Amino acid sequence: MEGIMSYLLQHPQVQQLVQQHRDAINQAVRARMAAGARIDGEDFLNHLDTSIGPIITAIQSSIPERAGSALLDLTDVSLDLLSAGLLFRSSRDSLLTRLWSEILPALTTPLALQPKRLAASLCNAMIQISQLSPMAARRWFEALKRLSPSLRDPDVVLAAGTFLGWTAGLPQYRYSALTLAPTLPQEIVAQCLGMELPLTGSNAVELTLEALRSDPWARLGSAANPHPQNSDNTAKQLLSVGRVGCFRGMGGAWLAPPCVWHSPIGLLASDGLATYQIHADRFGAALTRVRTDDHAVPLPQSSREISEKQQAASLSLRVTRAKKGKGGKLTWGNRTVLLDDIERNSSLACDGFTVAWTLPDSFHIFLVAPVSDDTPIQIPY
Amino acid sequence: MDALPFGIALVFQNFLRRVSQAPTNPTAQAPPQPFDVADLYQGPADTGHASQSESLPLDEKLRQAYFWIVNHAIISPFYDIEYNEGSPHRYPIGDRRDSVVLPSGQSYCSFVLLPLLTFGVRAKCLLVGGPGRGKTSSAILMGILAGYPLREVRRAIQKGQPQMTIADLLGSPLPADLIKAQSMDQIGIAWRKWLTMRVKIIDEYNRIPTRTQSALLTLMADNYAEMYDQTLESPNSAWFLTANDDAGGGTYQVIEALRDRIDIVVKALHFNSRFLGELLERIEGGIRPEENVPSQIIFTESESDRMHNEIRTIPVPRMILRRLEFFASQFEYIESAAQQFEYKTKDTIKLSTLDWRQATASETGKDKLKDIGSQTKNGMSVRAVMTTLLYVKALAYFRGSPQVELEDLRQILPFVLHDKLIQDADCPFFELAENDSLRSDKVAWIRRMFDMACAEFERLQLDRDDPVQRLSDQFDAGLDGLGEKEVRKRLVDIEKQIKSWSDNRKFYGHMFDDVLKLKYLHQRYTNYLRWLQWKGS
Repeated sequence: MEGIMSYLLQHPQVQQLVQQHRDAINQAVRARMAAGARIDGEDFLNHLDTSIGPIITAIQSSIPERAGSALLDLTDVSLDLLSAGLLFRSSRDSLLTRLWSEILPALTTPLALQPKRLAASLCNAMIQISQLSPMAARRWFEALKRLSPSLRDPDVVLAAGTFLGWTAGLPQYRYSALTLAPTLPQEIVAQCLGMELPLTGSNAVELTLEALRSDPWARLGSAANPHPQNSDNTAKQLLSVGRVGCFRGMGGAWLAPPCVWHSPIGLLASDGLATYQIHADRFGAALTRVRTDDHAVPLPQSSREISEKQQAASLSLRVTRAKKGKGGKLTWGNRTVLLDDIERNSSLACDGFTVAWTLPDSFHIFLVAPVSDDTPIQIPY
Repeated sequence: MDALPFGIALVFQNFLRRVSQAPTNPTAQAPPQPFDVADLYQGPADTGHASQSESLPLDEKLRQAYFWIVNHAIISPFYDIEYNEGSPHRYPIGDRRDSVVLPSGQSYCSFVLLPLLTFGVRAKCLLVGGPGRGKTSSAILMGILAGYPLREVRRAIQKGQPQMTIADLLGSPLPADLIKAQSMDQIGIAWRKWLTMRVKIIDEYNRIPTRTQSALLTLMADNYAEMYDQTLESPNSAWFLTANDDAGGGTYQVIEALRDRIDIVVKALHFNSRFLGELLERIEGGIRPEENVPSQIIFTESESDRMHNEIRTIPVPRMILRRLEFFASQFEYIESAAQQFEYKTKDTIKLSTLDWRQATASETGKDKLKDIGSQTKNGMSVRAVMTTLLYVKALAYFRGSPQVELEDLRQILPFVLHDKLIQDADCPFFELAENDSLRSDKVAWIRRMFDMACAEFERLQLDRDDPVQRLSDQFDAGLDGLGEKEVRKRLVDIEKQIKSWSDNRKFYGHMFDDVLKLKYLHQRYTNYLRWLQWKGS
């Protein structure tokens, strides 16, 4: 017992608080167990000691009158997670566990105001993002950790969390993030975007957001070059920016090689069984499931039909064979890029920002976009 | 195991406030959920924030309410409303070899589900059963789900007792006004607050004196209360009445008009002693579920209104409606009741002074083992049919179905007709050994009658060949532009159909409404023909 509760034993004020609420905590644990939740008591005690304890210490030192309710709320959230099989001792190094030990203690003020909402929401977000993309989850965690000490309001924390979801590599949050951006302090937005600081007196953040609203591949501005387009190296080139999607057996979406096409809601892809929307920007690429009856464009009859229609579209997309060696050339307006195998494409689509194309024997969707060559892209290749 | 080596607590919130994760009724037909940014902050941890439920459809919220009640509030581990996907397992039990069925689909407890549906459709539910079975508790939960604080719900319960006066029920005139008023309309009434609530609870309604029952009837039937020429309009509400038995016995006999206003009767089931441990936990923990209803399952007034409207829009397919029509048509006809064809009904006998047995003694032409109508002393009223339709829509809505299914009708009918269809216990049908328990088990009895009606419907192949429906559809297409020749042809078709029934001396109960429908069509065409002829001249 002493070994497990070492933190509490070293912090008598927190220990006293736990003693005051011991009945409630005890009852909460027993009730969960009675309801069938498999909660390991040792896991709970360990979490109480190593994770909740430090958070309560931080709250006690800044807003002591809220420490009691925060303790109970954080206990509830912890029991939710433990009941779901999360937060056990052997997952010490998991991002979710580290959220409790490295991020929540730094969010003392907002956590004291709305402990349950904030802790539960951030934990849920950590779980969601980890399921969507482990890489994005790590980026989100690190970015939130850097940002936490400067966040004071619960709504700002959650808005920042959504914004970071986008910049961590989940472009499906782009629209929401850009909508939330005006509610966030500029320096927070700048940190979320990874812009160089300081930006005092500069309108680089506003200009960057404006640019990103109209161009998902826009550069980020800086203090030296606030306007994302004002740079000696801003001549855009058509570049292969990455790929998205894979075989369902490998954790992806497809049972068969997909095709892509453009619809009123954006770029879509389907393997004939399920349809997904393609989201892609400088921060990442992702697929989200859509209902096929939600949009006016009917499903194409064949991949060749898609390819022919898109090639005939007024977007000036052309694919030709490369003159030398193997591969093909994609021409979009006045920009060209050489790409292996594009001459074999089974489908090709463009939404005005991004070109998506597929091969008949591949489960990937390849992405091409006009970007500045100094624009770092987070999409894996 | 002790989480901490300490005592037993009293405070108890989060466990009771857990709401089942949506979807609570996963079906193969559920479409894939499109991306929603709000999903980022949803997950296994309860944020305690209302926004988690705001995006939920109301039928899902209703289902969450149901599962919260059965899991945390009312210990009623019964699944007597059975749905199956594929064949269920059946095991004959006991000397009588009645089956216990293990349903293969999501099934429900009537004691919890039907009050919840009543809340959704704003109908009137009578909860019957022995004392201490949870009738009042169930009604209180419905009041809380409607958004009223527990204290307000408890204080608004009208408790039937022999000294209850109309003033106790409705309110009193303001004494000062009584003295000063020059006319009745100057008397102000201090109306009781419960009259304006959207959930109304009457405890032990069969202990209310007859005179006061009449005042209650006006409120239940017409949604207004009247006193000293002043009226108070009451909003459309869900009513929950309790009684220790449903035969109307109690301190006072319940007036028939009031009993007739009850839409559905729900029996409080017995307590399963295998769940004693849960009772002990509640005692030891001081657990009171009604004090811990999660906010996520509480309906605002606008949500209640919206849910009510959504329920009403659930379609009833034509073929389901036909089966209900066929079932309802079984009960009314009794040949010996009158000479005028329209009056050959059980109502005619009831209104006369004749003894039922004497009046029906001459009904020898029917096979009373197979004739469904022989089992009852009355037919289905219009009100019963409307209530049935409302509740089947509610049940389909609750289950997340896009339309009413036959099983919904089969499950709801017994509860709606429980008090409405009067059983003729002397019918030979009940003399059979396998049917004698149906004298007391009205739910099973009504369900059996419906199954028999459906079997007969299929035997007659009425879904494929229904001459009355064909003639009705023809008429419903409209009379505009119809010429005299066509009208005469249709009249002949109707006359031929009736003649064929006349020639075949066997006349079954369900044909009674068919004949009257054809008579109605014939009369409409006849009037139209006369008009055409007048117009022509």
